[in-house]
Amino acid sequence: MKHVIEVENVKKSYGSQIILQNLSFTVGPASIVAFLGPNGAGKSTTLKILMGLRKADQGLCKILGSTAHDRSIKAQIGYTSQELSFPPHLFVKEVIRFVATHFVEPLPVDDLLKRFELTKLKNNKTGGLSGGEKRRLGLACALMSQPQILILDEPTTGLDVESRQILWAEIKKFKKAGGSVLLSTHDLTEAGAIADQVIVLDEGRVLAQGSLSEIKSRVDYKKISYELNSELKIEYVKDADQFVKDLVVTNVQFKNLHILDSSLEEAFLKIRKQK
Amino acid sequence: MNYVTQLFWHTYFLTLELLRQPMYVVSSILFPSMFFWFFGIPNAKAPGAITLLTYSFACFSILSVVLFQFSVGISQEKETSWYYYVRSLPSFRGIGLGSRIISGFLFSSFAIAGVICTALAFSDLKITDIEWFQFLIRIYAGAIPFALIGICLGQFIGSQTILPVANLTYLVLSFAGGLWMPPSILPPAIQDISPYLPTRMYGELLWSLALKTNYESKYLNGLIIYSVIFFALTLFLLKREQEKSFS
Repeated sequence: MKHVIEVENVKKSYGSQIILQNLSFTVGPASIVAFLGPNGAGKSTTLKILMGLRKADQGLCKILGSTAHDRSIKAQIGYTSQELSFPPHLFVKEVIRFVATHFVEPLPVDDLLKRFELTKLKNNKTGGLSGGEKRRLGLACALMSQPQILILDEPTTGLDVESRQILWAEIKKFKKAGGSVLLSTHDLTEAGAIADQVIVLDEGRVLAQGSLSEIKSRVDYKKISYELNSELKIEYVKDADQFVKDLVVTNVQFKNLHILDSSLEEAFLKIRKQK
Repeated sequence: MNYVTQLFWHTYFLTLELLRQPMYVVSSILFPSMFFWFFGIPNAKAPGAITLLTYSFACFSILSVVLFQFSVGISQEKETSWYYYVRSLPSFRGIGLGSRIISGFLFSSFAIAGVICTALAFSDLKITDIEWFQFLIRIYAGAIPFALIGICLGQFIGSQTILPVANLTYLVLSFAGGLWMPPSILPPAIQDISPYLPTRMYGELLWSLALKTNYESKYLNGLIIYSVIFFALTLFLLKREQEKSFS
């Protein structure tokens, strides 16, 4: 299969508010695609439409050649929503067991607890879990069915560094095993750290789509940092060579000069300004 | 995984979740028995009164689960992200509501058992085997319209306002229907409307058994009409909820 997820010309409005405008993108096998965009860009709505939790007004949404309304397809998708809540009086192990009852060949509960460092918490009620623990539990549930696709809505929001590392490691491991991941984030560091492809979304439209380097290359500015009179200076210029030549000609005493590519954050801001 | 197995597991975990909530257990199971012990048994002085009061409080106890807890549970549940997450799992249609109904049946049974045990322990309640059988049939069948009213309230009213609305509905219907005191001593204005309330019809269904009299068909017809109306309303509200939340 060439694409595991295909979205074509999807439109969605809530009343007069337009959420998605002719949204189109694809996700290939064994890849991690990050949806990048500010709050209200339409990231969560897109993921919910893919999961069958919302209906598109128009357009085509396919997962593994079908839709998520198909129960056999749902079994191939692991999903976590942006806001996570669990029945507060159930224990961690019971929530995982509950999710496991929906699948024919679920992963062993103890293995998942161990992988997500939840073993010590297995007899704790989910109502007492921290945000990071809930996220880990959410991802453990999403991986329960050994799915082909993970759809994760802002999976690391509010996480501490340790939990974030665990999640990233699991997502990378999942991809290495042949799985595809579509995740939404407004954390550029996250997108830069784990995604193969980035889709920049704003006001329901795709502003840019491509690999990290392609996205960064859309920014034709270079970042130049140097020290002048013991003061750190940072400049963004189109022609770095010309800038350095000019600097030399002026005969000022500078040191520690570095020429850097723009970061993803800078690229993101530039793309949004260009729209 | 087939439908029945999945329904079993949904019911199991929902029941476990509810059993671990002390307030739910106390209000659903213990309160009706306690009220009966405090207010029912001491007033059962006339011959046969204990049977009437036992049946009335059994009705009251089942209402606390199917009317009050259904409405509050459904209303609060559909505003959690867990509700949506479960919808993303490969579960069968209607499993959530089905598990809530079965779980409600279990809790109702505990609540009724509490009232019966209290009566057996603290009074001279005597019921024959055939009466037991008739009692169980009538009390569960008569609860159907109230379960439907509970589902409708839960679907229609938001979680912020459901508690006072459910409380008011449950308490007013119980009182005006004559489940707390005989309809003949209710205030005159309430006596006028009482025969048209489903709680009164429910009570009459059980009282006729206690008094060994024929059940008036108008009450049975009334319960059937209430069931049909609220069944139709339940279907409409479930469809509306589906369109509102998943469109």
